[in-house]
Amino acid sequence: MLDGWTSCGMEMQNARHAPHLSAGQKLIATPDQSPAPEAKVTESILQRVAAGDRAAVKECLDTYGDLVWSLARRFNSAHADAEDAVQDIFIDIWTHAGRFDPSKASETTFVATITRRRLIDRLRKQGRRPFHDDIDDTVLPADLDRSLKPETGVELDIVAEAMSTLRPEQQEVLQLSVVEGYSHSAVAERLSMPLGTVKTHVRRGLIRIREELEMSETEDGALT
Amino acid sequence: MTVSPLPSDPRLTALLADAATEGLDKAASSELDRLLDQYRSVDADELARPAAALQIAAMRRSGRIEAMPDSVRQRLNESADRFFAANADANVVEIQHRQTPPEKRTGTFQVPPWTGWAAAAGLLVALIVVNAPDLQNSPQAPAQRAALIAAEDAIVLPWSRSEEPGYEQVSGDVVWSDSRQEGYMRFSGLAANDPANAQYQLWIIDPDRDARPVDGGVFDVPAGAAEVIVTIDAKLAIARPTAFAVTLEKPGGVVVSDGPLLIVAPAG
Repeated sequence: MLDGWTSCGMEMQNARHAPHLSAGQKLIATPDQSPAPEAKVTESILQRVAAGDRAAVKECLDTYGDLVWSLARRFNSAHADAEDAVQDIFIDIWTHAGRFDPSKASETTFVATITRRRLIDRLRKQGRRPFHDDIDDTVLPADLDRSLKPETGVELDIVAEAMSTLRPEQQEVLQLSVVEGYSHSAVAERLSMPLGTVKTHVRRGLIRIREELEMSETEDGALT
Repeated sequence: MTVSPLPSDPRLTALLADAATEGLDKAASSELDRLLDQYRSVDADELARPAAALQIAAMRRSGRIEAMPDSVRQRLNESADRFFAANADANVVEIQHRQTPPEKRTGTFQVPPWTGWAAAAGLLVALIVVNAPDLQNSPQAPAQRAALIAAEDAIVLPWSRSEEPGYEQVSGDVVWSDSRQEGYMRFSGLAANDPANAQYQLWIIDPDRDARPVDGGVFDVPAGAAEVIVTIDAKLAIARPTAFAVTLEKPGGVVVSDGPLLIVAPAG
């Protein structure tokens, strides 16, 4: 049983439907370098990164560095592995910055989605599982809220709220699988639960959170 | 934004959930791609985003955020400098590989010493030809090339000046990373080919792996392209390439090439 999930939120992006070649077409421009919609160019760090604004890169590091680093540390027991991971992650973020779509996702979630994907890929290639309690206590904690826009804070409240409405066993499965990084089979073993049930809880729980977020976006407009 | 429920396809949502939490193996990833082609309004991150938001919310609630060390930040700043320097001239076009015949083939010919590759033009070349490179669907080659340059072990090898008639003016470079097994060729001045009659073919020379060059795939250069980028898709692991070489072959490429090596990018 989890406590503290008292309120909930988020945003969406579309990576798959970025401009692509059609069959037989051989020449491609540089879509990630193409300008974002005019009205949003100056509002987004990532869109400025995509437009080649070098200053936006420092802002990107300042804003999301602690978040990406913390995620990397949770997925990597070795400090050096985390360092290598964040290098790959930020290059991924800069490379795909042009795909950020504020009507689909906040920057924070876009960044965290890329980060998690890259970390999961690395772990799969290395055949390892994340370490879950490896945050270095000797390091001064950073303030996540400092780097969050108010809208993102509201979204996270929506996520917490959605989580709190799930059944306790669903909350527990999501906590272990998504937050702590356990494999589905490890969750099943730990909770003495059939693997299929674990997978169902993960799927339904994430769908539920997604629905809450999209309902919120419909009410409040595009996220920033 | 309108509410867009996920399709009620249990296999689709199961794969999306797996992708969001523990990743997919190659077969599952291919299956998801096929389903996403079927459901065009759905993207691969539909459940990865809620998962990411959930994790941020949990970290925020627990306060378990660790400040990025200054040394890591400094290293990232240096990577950013390389990334953007490389991107500054990345406004070019990419050429896609074409598939070579799918059967696995190896060559058996004697090869010359791996020094002086530029001088080896015209010699019979023994080859390792592997399964065809997959078509590279990424439209990101220029940016990906720029990103690769930022990798710590990336090497950038310029094409040597060719002595082959018609290729003296070719310039550009090869970017390659051993750790990522990823690379890109960039050409200026490489003559357009008629794919119905001939195709360019890349060979990767890696004596640590084998005495025979590895097939790097065939590609075309369209008329009127001032600069092109070709994605390298080496199907065999390359340990330490000492040179990259390009020949012009019959459509689909060859197992054994009698050259000549039109352009060569030697390492050192």
